[in-house]
This record gives sequence, structure tokens and C-alpha cells, in this order.
Amino acid sequence: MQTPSQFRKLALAGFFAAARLAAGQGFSVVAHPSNPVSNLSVSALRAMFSGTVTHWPNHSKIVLAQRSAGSPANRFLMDRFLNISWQDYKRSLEGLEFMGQEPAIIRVLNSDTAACKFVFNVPSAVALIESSSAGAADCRELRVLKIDGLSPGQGGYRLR
Amino acid sequence: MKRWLPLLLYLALAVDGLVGTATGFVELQRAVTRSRDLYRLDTVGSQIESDLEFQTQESRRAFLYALGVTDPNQQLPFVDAAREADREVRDTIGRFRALQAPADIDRSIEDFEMSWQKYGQARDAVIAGILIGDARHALALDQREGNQAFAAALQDLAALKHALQAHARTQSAQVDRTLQICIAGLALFVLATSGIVLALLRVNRARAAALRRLAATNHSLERAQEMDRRRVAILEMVGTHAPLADTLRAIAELPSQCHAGAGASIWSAAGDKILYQASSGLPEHVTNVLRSQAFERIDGSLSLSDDARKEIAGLAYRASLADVILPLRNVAGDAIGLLLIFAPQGVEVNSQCVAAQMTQLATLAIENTMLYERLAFQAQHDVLTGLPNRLLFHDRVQQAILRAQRNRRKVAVLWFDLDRFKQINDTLGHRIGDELLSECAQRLKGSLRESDTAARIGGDEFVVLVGDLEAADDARIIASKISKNLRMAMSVSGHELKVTASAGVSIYPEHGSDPASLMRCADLAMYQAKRLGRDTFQVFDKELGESLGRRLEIETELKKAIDNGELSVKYQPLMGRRNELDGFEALLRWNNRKLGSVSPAEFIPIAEESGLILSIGEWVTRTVCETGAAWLRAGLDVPRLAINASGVQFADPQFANKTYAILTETGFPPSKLELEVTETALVGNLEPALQQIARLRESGVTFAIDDFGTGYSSLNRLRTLPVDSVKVDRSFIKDLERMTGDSTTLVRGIIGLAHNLRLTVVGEGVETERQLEILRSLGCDTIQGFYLHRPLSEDAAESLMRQHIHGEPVPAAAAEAPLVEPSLA
Repeated sequence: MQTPSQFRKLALAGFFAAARLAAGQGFSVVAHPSNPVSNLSVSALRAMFSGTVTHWPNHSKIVLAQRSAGSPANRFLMDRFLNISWQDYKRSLEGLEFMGQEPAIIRVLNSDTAACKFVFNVPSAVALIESSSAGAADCRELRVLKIDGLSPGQGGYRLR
Repeated sequence: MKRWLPLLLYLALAVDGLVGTATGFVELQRAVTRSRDLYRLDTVGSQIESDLEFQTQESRRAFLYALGVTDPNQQLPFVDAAREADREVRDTIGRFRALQAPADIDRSIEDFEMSWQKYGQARDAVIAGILIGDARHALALDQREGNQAFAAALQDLAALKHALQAHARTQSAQVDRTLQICIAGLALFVLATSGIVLALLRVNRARAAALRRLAATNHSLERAQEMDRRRVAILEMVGTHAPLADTLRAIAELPSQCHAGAGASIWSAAGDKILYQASSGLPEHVTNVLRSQAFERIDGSLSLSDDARKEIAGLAYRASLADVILPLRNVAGDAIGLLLIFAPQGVEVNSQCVAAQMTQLATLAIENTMLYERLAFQAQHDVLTGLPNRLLFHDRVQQAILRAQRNRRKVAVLWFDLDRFKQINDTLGHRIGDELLSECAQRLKGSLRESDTAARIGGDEFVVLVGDLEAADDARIIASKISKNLRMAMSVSGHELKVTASAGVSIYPEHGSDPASLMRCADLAMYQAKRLGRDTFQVFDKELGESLGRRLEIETELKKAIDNGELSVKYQPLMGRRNELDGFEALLRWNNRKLGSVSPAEFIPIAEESGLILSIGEWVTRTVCETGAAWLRAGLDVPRLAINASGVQFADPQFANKTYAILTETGFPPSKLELEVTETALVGNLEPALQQIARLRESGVTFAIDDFGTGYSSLNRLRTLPVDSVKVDRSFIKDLERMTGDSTTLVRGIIGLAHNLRLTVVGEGVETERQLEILRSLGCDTIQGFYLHRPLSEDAAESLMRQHIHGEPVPAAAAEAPLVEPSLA
């Protein structure tokens, strides 16, 4: 049973998430500025975050910088993009490893800013963050990848 | 050369100072630049280097902290710190580059930068390993590459520090040297500047001293100029005969120009006195005392008596003045004045040039005044007798006339001429004659009142002015008194002499209202007295004055007659026994516009007395000779041409020369010229006249005695005179018709005598046929007269000569109208 304070937090979170969705901010995929990839298809992005694709075209290992569970970016990734729960997601990754595939490197970061710092310090990393955080100081130096040729905010952009 | 040395020294100092200044400035600028560089590299560089080392270590330390944490979210702050330290390191490197350090430091920075980049790459790989959770790999990588790269970076950093320190040491040494040079340059600059300043101070002192000297010189010059100006002014006063007192006062002002309080007083000698003349610059009471003084001369010198000297010295002492007494002497050494200079005690006026100048100027002024007064006296007085001369007498007469006009009184002028004074001169000598004149002068003065004036106006001629007369008879009394005094015997150089005088008296206002008229009237009256037998006096009368007026008018007009062309010559034929043309006598005629035709008998004596006869005679001779020469050139048989010559002409020593010169110039033959001269003309000056006649006769000129029988008619002289013919006076010819017999006998005698002396005889003044017949019967050679021919004009005479050539009968009487009575000329 949730306490009234927890309830209020959830309510506020839901309110803000709903407000952001209503505002159409969506989510952005950021990578190290030295990364040669600037555009990804939705399927390629889904393959990367589902662990089926583990290397960049330059053969460097993909490091997935994921937001902690409950964050808007994590919920969007799990609930709407991969359509899987966080537990199931972790289990599927372990299943892949057991199947003999090279496991995907996932680092969970507790804020969009930390995710941006991580991506900045690890050149092969990629993170899904809220588009509103892309303008933060730690994120401005990263490259925002186009999805299916569309930048965040453009019409038809899929990650929102 | 010595004058240029200081200038060269100053110039060298100035150049040295400028070079030192420029060198010091450049070196100072260099020192500043190097100090700035040193500061930047040493101070700023050291700080940067410290920052660099700190950041380097900070970067490494943060990274190592990151290694010890496994959670990426916990690792990230350390990673960020390492990254931040890395950025700081890079910024610090940029600051290093901005310092524009020398090349070796730049190279050290580049080396460090490269090694730091290598460390950075290794660190990024290790960080990536940490963050993706591969700690083991990351640690291995760090140990393998990171530590090595960091050690290399630290090594390069140490090299950079070493380079900085080396550069700092080098720069410090250079700055030290620069500062030393700068100090030396500044010292040189200060030295040179000091030298220039000292030189300028010295020049300024010299200039100030020169200015002081110049000011002193200018003051002296101005004083000298002022003295010179005053001297010139005084000389001008002397030259313009300013009053002596004014001139001497200007001289007395000179001491005050040299010394304040100095003054002078100037005195001049006059007879046996030394008289005050002027003073200046002295206290008034001193001047008053001096002005009242008159010192006695001792033996004609300028030596003052002891009393006089004591008085002057006492006067000066009381006025706190020192006196200097200087005598004034002329060139001959004669004492002519005294110069007294007074100056304040202690002032040596006598040693100054002013005293000498004053002496010279005062001497010149006094001497010039004395000379001027002497000349003025001589100009108005007769040197021999000391009496006033004609000039002063005229002035006195003028003054007397003015007084007489105011007082309605009369003025008398008495003209005295000593009788036969020439004989005294000729027999006893001029010295006795002069003494006699002086004695007469004294007697004249002794006979007169103090207010009357006696003057000597000629050799033996004296005039006396007697003014303030009530009646004309008073003049007679005075004339009688003077004549009586002169008549008294006088002893002259041992000779007992008695002289008489003829006197003429004229009275103002009866006989004239001006000095010249009165003297002329008195002179004329004196001649009248002479004619009356001498030793008497005559008062001028009107008849005598009219005659005098006519005479003066003739003389005045005659002076202009030649220039006005008023003179002319007529030619009266001289006919021979057979009525042939034997010659012409040239007769002078004068037709004046104012006086009309004037008879030669009237104007010739006046011309002789005035001396005009010389120029008139020369004109007649030249005219006749030119006419005769023209007739000769016309082919005429010109007979002799006779000209009357005056005794005055024969008295001219050049008469013969002039006559001969005219003959030569005109080309008229001397043999055709005959000069007629009267006996009386020759008597007074016989010997010189005979010499001139002889010279002219040598050249061919013939001579005739004119008016023979009226003068001395000396048979002896007739025998000795060098003449060729004799002209019987017209008075004898006129008496021939009276049949008295005496005249005929006389004429016969003259003719016979002349013929015996081989002289031809001319009968002049023949006016009737009877006279002609008698003369012809008596054997007269040549006839002249109205009966045969009146005087002819030049053309008529020429026609007569042509008739004579062609043998035509000569008319008994020419048709020409009678002009004037034939006369001497």
C-alpha cells in the first residue's frame, strides 16, 4: 500500500509526464560527438536497446546508458518502445548471454545529466534521454542522433 | 683661436650629452622591455607552471579516485574532476603560449602538450573501461599506458620548468647588464648634462658680465656722446659768433656732465682787468660773489693776487667745493682768460679730460671773439689812423640823418683833402706821409665833439660828420676851425711840416637825404674849393649839383653803351693838296635812348675819368680796323685811318699790345693806322707813353699830335716826339679869316716848323673856302673840315673811296647832314 506521500510523488510524476507528452517534447538519442553514426532507424535503435545489436558500424562495443527504472526515459523505453517490463528486459538480456551471444553493456544512470556525462566520457556509449534535457550543459556537447532522418521536434518523429 | 676653444668645448659637451642621453634612453628602454619579459616569463610563467603542475596532479588524482569506484554514477564526479583538471591544464598551456616565450620554452611547452595529449588518450581509454565496468581491463590499461604517459608528461613538465628557470637566469643576467649599461648611460647623461649646464652657466655668467661691461660702455659712450654733442653745439656757437657770455656759459656747463655738483666759472682778460663772463653749476651765492668780482692783472699776466686766490679758495671752502684755476692762453701763449672749476671734495676734476676740453673750448671762444671784434673793427676803421672808414662813416651818417629827422636838426658832412700831399709823399717818403696823416687824424678828432665822427676814406681824404646842428652856418664854423687846426705847423719825425686842406661842406636836408648824396655833394664842393685855389672850403650849391647829376647820368649810361650798340663811328675825309683822299679820321658818336646824341666833348672826359675810355677806345680801334680790313678785302684803296687816343689809354701798360693784337686779328695793316694824341695827354705820363708809341711805330703805326698849339706847344718836345704829323688846332684855322695876321703867322710858323722836322701838317676844322685857300697857300699838306667833307657813314666813306679810285671829282661838301660838332673823338 502506497503512502500518501508516495502517492503524491507518483501523481506529480504522472502529471509532469503527461504534461511533457502533451507538450510533445519526446525523447532524444545522444551519442559521443566522435561517433560516426548520426542517424538510426527505429528498428536499429530497438535492436540496440534490446541487445540484439552490440557493435557500432566501426566495430566498437555499444554501451547502453540507460536511465534508472521509473524515470520517464526508462518508462518510455520499456513501456512504449520495447513494450517490455524492466524485469523482463533484464531477463531477456541474460537469456541472450546464455545463448552464447556477447552480452550488451548496460549502465544505469540516475539522471539525464549523468547519462550525458557518461556518454561524453565513454565514446561508444548511447543514451535515451528526455528531449528537454538535451539543452542542459552536460548534454550540449553530445550528438543528438536523427531517427528515421528526423530530429526531435520535427513532424513524424517517432520517439514521443 | 682662443675664442673658438670654449665654443668647441661646449659643442663637444653638447654632442657628448646628446649621445649619452640617447644611449641611456635606448638602454633604459631595452632594460624595461627585458624586465617586462622577465617578469612575464619568470613571475607569470612560474605561476602558470605551478598551476600546470597542480592541475596535472589533480587530473591524475581524480582519475585514480575514479578507478576506486565501481558505480558509474559515483565515478562520474571524479571523472568530471579529472576532465576539469585536464581543461585547466590545456588552458594553462594556452596561457603559456600567450606569453610568447622564447623558442626553447615554446618547444618545452609543445613537448609537454604532446605528452599530455598522449596521457589524455590513455586516460580516456581507461575511463571508458571504468565507466563500462571493465575495471580490470581499465586498471591494466592504466598501469600499462596511463602511468607511462603521465610519467612522460611529468618529465616534460620538469623540462619546461628547467627551461623557464634557465630563461629566467639568462634574462636576469641580461637585465643586470642592461641596468648596468643604463646606469652607465644615465651617469654619462647626467655627466654630459651637468657639463652642458655648467658650460651654459659659465656662458651665462660671461654674457652677464659682457652685458654689464656693455652697459658700462654704453653709459660711458652716452656720456661721451653727450659731451661731444655739447662740444659740437659750443663750436657752432663759436662759429656763428654767438654772444661770448652764452658760449662760455655753455662751456661752464660741461663739468656737471661728468660730476654731479661740479661747476665752473670763466673769466676773460680785458686790459688790466680779468672780468667775469659766465658760470654754471655753482650755488647761487657763489655765482653772485664771482659776478661782482673783477681781479687785477699783475704785469699783464693771469697771475692772481694772493688776496684774490684766498678769496676764491675761501668761497670754494664755504661751499664745500674744491677749486681748480686754469689759465687760458692763445696759440701765441698770451693770457686771454681764466677757467675756475669747482667740484665736490674728493673729485679730481682736473684729472679728467673735461678740464682740457673746457680750456680748449673757452680759449677758442674768447680768441675767436677777440679776433671777430678785431676784424669787425678793422672792417670799419682805417688801419693807419684808427679812424672809422667809409663803411662805418656811411652808417654813422645814416644814424645822424635819422636822429636829425626826429629832432628837426641839421647834419653836416665835411670833406677834407690835404693840399699837395702827394708832394710830401714823393719828397719825404711814405713813412713821413703816413705819420703826417696820423697827426692830421688826431687834429681832426681833437677839433670835434665826442658825438661827431671823423673818418679817413682815401689817401689824403678825410670826412667829418657833424650832427645835431641848428643852422648850416654852424658847419662853416666847424670847417673853419678844423682848417685852422690843420694849418698849424706839426713836427713829424724831425720835419717841421705845414699842411693845408681844401674842404667841401654839404648839409642835410638841403643837399641830400642819404649818406651817399651828402658825401657826393661834399666831395664836389671840395673840388670846387680846390679850383678856387686850395686852403679854403666851399659849401655845396645847387648848380654844382645839377652838373654832377648830368655827369653821373652820362657815366651810368656810358657803361652800357657798348653792350647796347649805342656807339658808332663816322669817317671824316682828310684831303690832300690836290684834293686827293689822304685818309679818314674816325669820329666816335654816341646816341643814347635817354640822353639822345651826346657830344664827345662831354662824354669823353667822363669816360676818361671813370676809366671807361679803355674799353671804348678798344672798341673804336677794333671797329675801325675791321672796317678798314673789309674795305681792303673789297679791293678799295684804303688810305690811312686816324683814331684819337686818350692819355688814359697810354697810361695802360698793355695799350700797345692790345692795339697790335687788334691789328693782327683784323688783318688791317699797321701802316694804314694813325693814332692821334694831344700834347696834354702825353705830358703827365710821358716816358711810358713814349715807349708804347715807339713799339707801335716799329710795327708801322703812325702818330699825329692833335690840337697842336693849344697845349704846351713845346718846340723841344715837338722835336723829340716820335710823331709823323701835326694837326693844327681848329681855333687857329677859325681866326685865319679875320685877317688879323697873327693867326696866319702862327699857322705859317707851325707849318714851317713841322715841315722842317719832316712832319706833315693837317689843318682841321676848315669850314670856308677862304680858310682852305689860306691853308693851301701856307703849304698845309692835308685839309679836314666841313667845307670839304662832313663825317661820313661807313657806306658813304666807301663810296667816296670808289669815286676817288675812278678819278671822279670829289664833291666839295658831302651831302651828309651834320651830326654833331666835330670834336676830339
